[in-house]
Amino acid sequence: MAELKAPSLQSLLESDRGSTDSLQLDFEFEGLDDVEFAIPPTDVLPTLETVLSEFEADSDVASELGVPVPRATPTPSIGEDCGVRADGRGGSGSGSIMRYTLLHGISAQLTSAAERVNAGAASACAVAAYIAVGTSHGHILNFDVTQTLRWAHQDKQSQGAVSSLAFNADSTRLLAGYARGLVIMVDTQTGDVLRELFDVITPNTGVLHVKWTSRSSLALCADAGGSVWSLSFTRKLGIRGCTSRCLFSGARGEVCAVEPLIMNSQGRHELDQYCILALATLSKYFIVTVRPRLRVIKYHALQGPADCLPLLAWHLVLIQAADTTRSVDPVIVVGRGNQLFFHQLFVANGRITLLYLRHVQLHSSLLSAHWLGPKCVASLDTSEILHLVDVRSSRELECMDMANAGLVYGSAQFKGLATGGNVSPAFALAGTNACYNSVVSRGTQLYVLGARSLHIIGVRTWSERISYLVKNHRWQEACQLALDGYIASAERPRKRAQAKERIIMLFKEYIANSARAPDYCLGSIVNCMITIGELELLWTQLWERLHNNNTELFLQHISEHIEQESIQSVNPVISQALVDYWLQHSPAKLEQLILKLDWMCLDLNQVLKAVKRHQLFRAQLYLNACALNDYTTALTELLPPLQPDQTDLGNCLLVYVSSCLAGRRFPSGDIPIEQVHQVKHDVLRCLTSQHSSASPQDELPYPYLRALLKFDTRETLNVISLAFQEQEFSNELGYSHRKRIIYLLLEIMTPENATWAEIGCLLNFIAQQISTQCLPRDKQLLERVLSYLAQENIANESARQHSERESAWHELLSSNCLVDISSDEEQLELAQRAHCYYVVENLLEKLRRYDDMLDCLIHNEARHETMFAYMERHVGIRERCIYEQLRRHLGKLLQINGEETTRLIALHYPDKIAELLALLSEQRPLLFRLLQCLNARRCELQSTQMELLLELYCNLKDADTVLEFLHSSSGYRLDKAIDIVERHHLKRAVIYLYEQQESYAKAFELSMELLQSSPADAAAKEANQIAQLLARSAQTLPEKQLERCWFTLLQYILPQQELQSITKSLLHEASQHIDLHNLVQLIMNTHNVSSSFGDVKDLLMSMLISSRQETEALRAAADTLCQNLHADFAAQRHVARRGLWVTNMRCLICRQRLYDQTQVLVLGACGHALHERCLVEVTPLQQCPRCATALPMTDDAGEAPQLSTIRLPCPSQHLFNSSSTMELGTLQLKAPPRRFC
Amino acid sequence: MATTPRSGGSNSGAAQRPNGTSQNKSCQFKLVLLGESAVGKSSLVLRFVKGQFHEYQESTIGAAFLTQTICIEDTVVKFEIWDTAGQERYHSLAPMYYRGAQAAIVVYDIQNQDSFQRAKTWVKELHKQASPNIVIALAGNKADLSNIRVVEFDEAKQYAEENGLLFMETSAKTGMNVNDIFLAIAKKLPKNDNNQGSVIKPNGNEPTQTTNNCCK
Repeated sequence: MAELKAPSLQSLLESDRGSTDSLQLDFEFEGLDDVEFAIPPTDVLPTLETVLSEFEADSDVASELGVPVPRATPTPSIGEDCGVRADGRGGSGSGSIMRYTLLHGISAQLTSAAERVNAGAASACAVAAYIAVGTSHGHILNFDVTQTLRWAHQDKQSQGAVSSLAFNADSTRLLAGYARGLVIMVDTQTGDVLRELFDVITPNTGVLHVKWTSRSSLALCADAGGSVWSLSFTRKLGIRGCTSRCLFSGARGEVCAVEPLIMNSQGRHELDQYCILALATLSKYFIVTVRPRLRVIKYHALQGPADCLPLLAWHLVLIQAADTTRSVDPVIVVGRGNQLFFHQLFVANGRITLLYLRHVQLHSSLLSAHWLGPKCVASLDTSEILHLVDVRSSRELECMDMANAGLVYGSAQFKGLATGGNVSPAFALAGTNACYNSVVSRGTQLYVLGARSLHIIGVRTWSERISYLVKNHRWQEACQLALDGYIASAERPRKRAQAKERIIMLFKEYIANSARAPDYCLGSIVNCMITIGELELLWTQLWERLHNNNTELFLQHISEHIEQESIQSVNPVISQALVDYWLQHSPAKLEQLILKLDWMCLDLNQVLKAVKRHQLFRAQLYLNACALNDYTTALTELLPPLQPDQTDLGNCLLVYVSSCLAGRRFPSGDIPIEQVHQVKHDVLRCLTSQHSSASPQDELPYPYLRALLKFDTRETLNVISLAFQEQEFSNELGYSHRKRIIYLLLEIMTPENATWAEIGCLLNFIAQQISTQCLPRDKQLLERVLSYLAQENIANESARQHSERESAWHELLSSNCLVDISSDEEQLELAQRAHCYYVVENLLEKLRRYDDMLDCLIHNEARHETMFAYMERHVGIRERCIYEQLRRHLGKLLQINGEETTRLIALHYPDKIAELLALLSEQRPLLFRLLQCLNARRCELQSTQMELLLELYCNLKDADTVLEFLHSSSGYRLDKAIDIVERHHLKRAVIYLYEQQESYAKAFELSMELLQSSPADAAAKEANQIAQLLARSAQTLPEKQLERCWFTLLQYILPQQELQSITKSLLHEASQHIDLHNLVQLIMNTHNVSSSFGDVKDLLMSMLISSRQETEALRAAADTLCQNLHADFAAQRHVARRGLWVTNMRCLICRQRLYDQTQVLVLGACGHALHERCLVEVTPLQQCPRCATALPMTDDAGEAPQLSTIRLPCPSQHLFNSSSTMELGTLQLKAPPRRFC
Repeated sequence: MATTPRSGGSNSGAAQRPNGTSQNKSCQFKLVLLGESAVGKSSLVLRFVKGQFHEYQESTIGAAFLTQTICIEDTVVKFEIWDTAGQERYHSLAPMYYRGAQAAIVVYDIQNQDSFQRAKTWVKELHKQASPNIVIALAGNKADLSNIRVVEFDEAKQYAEENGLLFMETSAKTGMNVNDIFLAIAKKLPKNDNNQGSVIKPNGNEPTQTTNNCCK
């Protein structure tokens, strides 16, 4: 068997013929028996995916190799329970989506290649039907899906590391690019080199990318100079050739990433005719068509950190547009930094269009971004953590730490180390994080190349995730995930059926795996099965496995579901166990469950015996009625032993009887329509049966009805009256039924067997029934009822019972039922005797005898409110005699409601107030009440009435209230009031009144008296009050008197030791009103030694301060005065120094020439002038008569204003002489002239 | 314990069972007991299920439910037995139980001619109302008191043959024919699962949880 193993790398390399060797090896073993060696049939070769999927986390092997298995790190961005849905699959089980596998076969080969043949570390890989790995020393190893090495190629041209590898669409050709610029094409079957292309790219640069396009003979190659070349392979006359053409020159922007669109849709897509390519430089990305002609479709700017390369990946995605049209179009994801942009490429109106779809932002910068299936993008960040992002929800599903994989970086190629480093600095910097050729994707798998290992990250489907969780015994998560999937598939029946099938499979796995701990995660699995409705499996498989071991938990879960009403029926086996279990633990809970379960699944024999034993009467009633269709047996069993204190049972029975008689099922639902009549009849007959089935000797007749009445007469009668409303009781026969029942009731409720209260209930009931025409007007019955109603005195009758009696009577009256047996007059008398005032009231109203209306209203406490409304309403109607009645009952009315009565009086009888007051003069409290209310209503009371009120206040209330009254009201005469108050020795009130009278002196004296007589603890307060009084009086009291008062007060206060606390504040207060000198003197004189200097100190200080302030003020005032004087003077001087000019040659008054040797008065700035002698004629002259310019006036107090003139010296003679042409000498001006014209 | 089959719950350890039993088929049948009151329906079932006999068996209310598993050849048959109450007032309940039943045992008391007549009425009702495939057995109970019998064996036998019923005279007190009549029913019931909704066929490779050892 050793020979059957795959040929080792060593043997392949040593063999001259390369891979043909291994083929020959196969031929030699052609005759091997497949079955004997368990060789799988060759015609059904497994696909790469199926084979790789089988390496389900073979971590044992990985650990043997010494490579630690990466563990899923807890994702910080999504919580445990976050329900991310990827295509309707729940995502709550974190860590179950990504599947990690180490390809240990390939890894072992890589290790051995590096160690034995000096192949160097792995540098690039490509995955298609084969897996090709290139190494840093130029070796290429090609593996098939079983990880067997098919061939190895060694570069003999010393072209450095393999920098890039690419398989063509059908995996027949492999392109390999080298770090020194060589591109070779290899036949994948044999490993033969078909083409060696030395000069296809920019000279002296290395290859960064080689890619096949969608055209089979067209490939692309990007070099470290940033140029992109197209390689067209030709085969002319059997000679293989290649023409290369530069698509983009690195001089115009260095291309970092190249990603051709390969669709494999066999011409079904419009884009198939094009050869489309995505390119990205450090600043932009382009979508370009290469065939049929080179054209840029679209370009976008792409910003990002300088050390991050742009990332490109295509995938065909089903896109559902807003208008529900669906299309499958290629979507490109462009990544840079921590951003991912998604664009859709489609053909619209014959043009290729790029449409922006969405944008995802991650937390850290990215190394790679690849599609894993059409819904997820896997991106590796700079700290080598793999993030799985759901595109639709833009959320991170899971992440995994890949640091242990030893990821290979292609930085050396980007830096051009093999070709002398002639690359741009920006390129070299960005290239530090290059791993274009070491992370590749295929389908839903991501291949991560380590230096000596190859790793696969797969995405599990929903079903696989469940399997994974099951394998790890994470049942809870598995169930949750399964249910999520099931619920999410609600609208798609086919998917739902599949989901259900999967859940059933999960259940079977659970059954098979949980033998050792049968109740582990039981709840979730039970919930699962109930949700999908596969109950039978629960009852059979799960139950039987739990049997005898631990059914408790199971039963509890089932009970929970019954209570939530998610299941109505269980297997009888389970129901038996449930009943047994809950009988032991909580019979009450059992009752709840029974009421919610379908009775068909219960073992009636067991349950009914149990409920009877445990007195679960609700369940008993329910089961008897529903299951056995027996509505009476339970009644006959439960009724006779009913005691009045069993309220629960009693009420339950009442509800039961009521619902049966109304055709409803107990506790809910309806009785089947065909049974309703029978049930009603049965129940009624049972209730009214004369003897019970057992019929003991001492039994009273009608035991069942009697028991109910005994339990609660009122409610029983309610039930009956409800039943009377049913159809069955409304026809002719029904009336006789009613009558019969009433007679039965009367027969049962005899005074020997029932209390009066109960009989009262019954009779009220009958009265109501009669008055609502529900019972025939039977004279005998009516008489009986009336005799009860008219009873004068019933022992222990509560207010409620009495009012019920009244209302029953009233109803009978108002429905005219009693006409036949007695007249209104008789009834009036009866009612009055029975104190049924409501009835009396109605009868009076009926008889129009209004005189005593108030009387019965007053007697009836419940009608008091209506009474006032009644009076209000009828106040204007003479025959109602409201005023007379009011007068008669004034006292009582005031007692009942003073405010209302007063309101009525004040509103309607304001002129009768005096009369009414006189009426009450003997009843002082009532008088007081009336007056008080009147006063409170702010009625205009006469002063005598006010004084009367004050008098009453003094008599009836305490001093404080009196004072308050005095404060709050006016209208009394002060002197009279003082008299009254003094008579009652209410000193404070007197003081207040004195103050009101402004006789402060008297008030002060009285206050001092109070102060002197008051005890020590109250004195301080008293003294403060006096101080306040004095402060108030400061306005009116003459200063001398005020000072004297203060002195009196202080003289009393100061020596008092116990009043020390207020001395200071009092002194302060006093200092505002009296002379400080005297105050200090007083202090000095009266001050006793023990008192501290502190009290006086403040005083003295304030004296000093005030003195200083006064001095300061004086000085400031003097300053201001001086300043004002100076300013005045300056202004005056300014005015005086202004020149005067006369603009008129004639006097304003006499119209004569001015210059006639008389005194001339110039009127100021306007320049008008007049003779002084003419001034006398126009006095008083206050303004210029011509132009109304104001003239300077002297304003001496008390005298009429006079023109203030400034006498100026006459112009000098010299001046006049010099101007000889004019007779100026004769002009005697009072101001020097400045201008003449 | 006088019965051959073991009660359902006493053996459920799947681990102890040899793999051979996994070939067993497992069927589940609903069986209903009918007959006049006090003919011994409950006693019959009690004898079959628990192997017990009470001289003063309480009368059943409504219906009681019991299960028993027996083994015929290599098929495990689980009976879900509804033991209905014989009293007249529970008569209306019976259709609920026999409607979905695959088998019925109509019991009469060999000392009581009326009960035999009542049994005939039940058979008629079953023929009319129950599922057409129902297997009916007629059991003349209290055979231990055959010295004071009223209903002759031959008469009943003839009636049974005419109506296509299984017939046995049984005695819950002595256990006579009790298991036999159930076994006979089990044998007569169809074991293929195409017409039985409630038959559960275990998966081929997983150990059967539902089966019990038949032979001990």
